Amino acid sequence: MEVIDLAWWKLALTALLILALGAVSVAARLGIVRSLLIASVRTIIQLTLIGLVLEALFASSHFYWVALLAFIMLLVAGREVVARQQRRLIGIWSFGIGTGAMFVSSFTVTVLVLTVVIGPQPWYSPQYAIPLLGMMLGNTMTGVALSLDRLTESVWSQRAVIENRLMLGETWRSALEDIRKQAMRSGMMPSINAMAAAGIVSLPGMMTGQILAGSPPSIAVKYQILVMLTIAVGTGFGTLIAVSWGSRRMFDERERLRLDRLVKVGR
Amino acid sequence: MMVPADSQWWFETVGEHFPDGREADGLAEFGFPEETMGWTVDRLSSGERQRLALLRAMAREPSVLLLDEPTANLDGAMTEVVERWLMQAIRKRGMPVLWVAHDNDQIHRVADRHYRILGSNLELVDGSH
Repeated sequence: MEVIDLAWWKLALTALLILALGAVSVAARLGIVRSLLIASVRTIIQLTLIGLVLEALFASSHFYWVALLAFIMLLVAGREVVARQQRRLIGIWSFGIGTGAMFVSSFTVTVLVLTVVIGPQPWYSPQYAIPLLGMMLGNTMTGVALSLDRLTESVWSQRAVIENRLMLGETWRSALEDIRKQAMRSGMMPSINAMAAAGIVSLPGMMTGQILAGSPPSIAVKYQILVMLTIAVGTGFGTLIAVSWGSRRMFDERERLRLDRLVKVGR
Repeated sequence: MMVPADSQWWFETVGEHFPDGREADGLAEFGFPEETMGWTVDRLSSGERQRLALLRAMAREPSVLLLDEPTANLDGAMTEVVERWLMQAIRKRGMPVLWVAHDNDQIHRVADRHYRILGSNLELVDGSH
């Protein structure tokens, strides 16, 4: 089956629709027109650029180019995790914990899927590696950011309770037990909800794209199942690591609660 | 283990704050009926919280205890009840206790040794007796 290429002027038509939406929101004074336009322009520019990068990458497909792009993606995701937190650990810790957790979980799961499950030749073949890693990182990033935000926010608001539990001789682990549970939950919820609704409420974007591009639905569905399961695994382990490193960092070696290691970010 | 003057409660009922499967000592002495363990925490008054916080700490069998004004929210009669029960429990377990208080009479009643904080110095007021 041939894929219908989209002409640029047809894309411009959809951009006009965005402008129409913008005009309506100006008229209705919804106050979102600025962010709507900026986000639209960003989408266009960023995706065009990544299209060019991917074309070049597919042409060369050297391992170090793939690794370089993967590394840049990781750093940007790490920065995004930091930016999404209202209260964060001071210094390099916020970035380090988020990025480390994403690295360990996303990269491990992606490499595992590439080598064992899909098995392209070579295993780092960018056509498979980059989209897969992108989806893993994107979702793990959301999970890690949500859970770390929940963790630091709850520790701050429940500091008196934590202190009191420490006074009663509990370890930092048990004093923080409920908060860790909640943080894990809020990190994992998006992936769990997505899996539960997949196919009934929503047709996942990756599968839709593959079908639009001409793949038989049966293959697209298999890929989608693979992606959703691995996303859940990656997000789960990423969140787990982030929550356990993050909560360890809230206490020092004498198990004292160290709120001075948190800083509020003005927003 | 430390019992501050102002205690925190994080579960819904009183009983969940106590170690599992152990009958809390001192409930009756402190004037609580047996069903207290099923009470929700938000119905407790400040005095009840303070007494229950003491029982909660003792139920965890501390080896050393730091009490910060353990009778601050209690009236005179209840203060003496709590003091007597605490002294008895402390003596029975042979437990070292640091007891912070403002009330000189209370200090005389319970303390073996009395230090006073003057500025940033610690001064011995009264030795063992």
